[in-house]
Amino acid sequence: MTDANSIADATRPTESIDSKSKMDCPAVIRANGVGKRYEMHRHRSMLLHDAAKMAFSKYEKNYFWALRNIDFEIRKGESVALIGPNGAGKSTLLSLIAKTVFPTEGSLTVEGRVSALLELGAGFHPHFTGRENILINGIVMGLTKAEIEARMDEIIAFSELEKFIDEPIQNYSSGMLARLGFSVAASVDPEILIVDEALSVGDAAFQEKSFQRILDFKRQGCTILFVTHALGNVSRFCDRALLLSHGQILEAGPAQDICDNYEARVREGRLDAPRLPYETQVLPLWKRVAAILTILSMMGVVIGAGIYFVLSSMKETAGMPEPNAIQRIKRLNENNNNKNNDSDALERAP
Amino acid sequence: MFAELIKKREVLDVLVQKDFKARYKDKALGRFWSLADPLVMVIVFTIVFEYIFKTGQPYFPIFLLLGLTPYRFFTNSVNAAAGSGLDNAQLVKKVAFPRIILPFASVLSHMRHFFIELLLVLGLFLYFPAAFHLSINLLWLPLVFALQCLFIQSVAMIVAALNVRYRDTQYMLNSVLLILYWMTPLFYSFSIVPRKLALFLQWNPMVGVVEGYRAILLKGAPPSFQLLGVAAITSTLLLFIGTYVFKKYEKLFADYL
Repeated sequence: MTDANSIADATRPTESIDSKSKMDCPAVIRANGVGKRYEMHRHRSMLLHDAAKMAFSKYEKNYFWALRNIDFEIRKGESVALIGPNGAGKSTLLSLIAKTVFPTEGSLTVEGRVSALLELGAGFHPHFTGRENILINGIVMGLTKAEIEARMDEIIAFSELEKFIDEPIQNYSSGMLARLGFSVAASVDPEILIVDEALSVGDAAFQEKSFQRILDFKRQGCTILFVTHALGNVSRFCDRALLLSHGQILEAGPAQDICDNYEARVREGRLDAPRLPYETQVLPLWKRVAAILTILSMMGVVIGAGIYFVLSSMKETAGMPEPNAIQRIKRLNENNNNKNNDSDALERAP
Repeated sequence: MFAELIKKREVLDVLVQKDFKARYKDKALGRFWSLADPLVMVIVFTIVFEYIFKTGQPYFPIFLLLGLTPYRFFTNSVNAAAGSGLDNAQLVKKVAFPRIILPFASVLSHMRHFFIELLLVLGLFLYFPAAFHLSINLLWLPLVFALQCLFIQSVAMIVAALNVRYRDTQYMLNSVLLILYWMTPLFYSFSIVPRKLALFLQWNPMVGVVEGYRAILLKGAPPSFQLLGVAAITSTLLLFIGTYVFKKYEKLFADYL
């Protein structure tokens, strides 16, 4: 456990001069032994298949830990980079903080309005115009209708799409979509801003503009979490960095140091955190039996009732002769005669 | 769970609007398409049941529509709710909003279609004023409608959550809806169903709802309280199941999409 202690020490923002002033600030993100477990795909298919498996074989579920034993604190106004190789759990961690995904174990508290620049254009609908999509996207991200309408011109100006804003966005290029998405996301006054690599779309000029906007947020005291593979950007934005690998925090400390260490580790191939093991769980017998009984009884009632009514209807009609053509015509004639008589009677009546 | 819904009703509103508007964008005939389906159904079923089977039901087209329209509200919302997770996967994965909004948006969007389709019923009543019975019993209509919404919302919650976890829900739902289509008195009156079968079929809340609308509007009679009572029991039970299932899977939406 010495490892964990040293990480906790390093996590405290004492190292960088910049973050010293923020030491007194309250922690806005606090992770305590956070772990996120995903069910392996193999066993999450069909209901009946599950039931059959439960009944006839030793049923087990396989799990994969994407993150485990994550402890850190991020104080108000800090900007922290998450770096690490693919599959290290960076995006999972961001999703946890954005609260779209929930931890399997441990506790994670996030205080303040989170805006995630990883959700560029979430809820965009291709048939709607740029303006309509700004409204939808903004409301989904937590603004009110009035707030968006007040900021509409500002958003459109930032995206530089004035000419096309009333066109359906299905006619936009991918760059234009990215601009629109960023402009909306940047208009949400966030207290915590999550920036994913998705930002790297758009041309150089727009990227520069976006970076400036993010730096503005930082100056206003917004807490920033930044995920990137472009290590050059890390030192530009961030005071601190967390290096993740295989779902664990490998190192934490001042941004520049961690970036250097990461590069050194990559060069020397020393990126191995102890790999988190897969986990297998066997379901208890009573659960298996209960599941099977429920499914069977549900099917039994419906199918049983169906069979009962089909059979009893056949029993009722069993002795009856099939009506042939002549009989049918006779019946029709009788009907017609009756009708004629009726109408005659009606005519005569008055 | 439901408190969140009220707090975030602007999101709900925008999703309903989006769904509703998207359906009519770029269509020359726009909202007319909402009426096209029931119109075709009324014509075809009237030919089959009145000219071939000769059921002899007075005002058959109105009788049929009073069953078909509420039933279509039910199937369409439930189908939309089942697909709501998948259709909004991008949103669910990236934005934290109360998931309960999804089934509610599906139901509310189709409630609008329900009201549009009611125009057809209104049109027929204007054409056959004799079919309409004005009476104090019209006051029961809101109760029947509320019961219908309760039932639809409960089922919508169940299938919306289950379909995220088990995609077979959608297929199972299709079969169940096909069964219910014929086991709901759309083309016949529930009074002609043999007693033995009726005891079994009355547990479908749509029976009480459809028969309720017909009794009130076509006969000027109060709805059958036995059927409505049974429907209320089933719907409440389903509401509890729906709340339980949704609570259970709510936090896993992003994991399974």
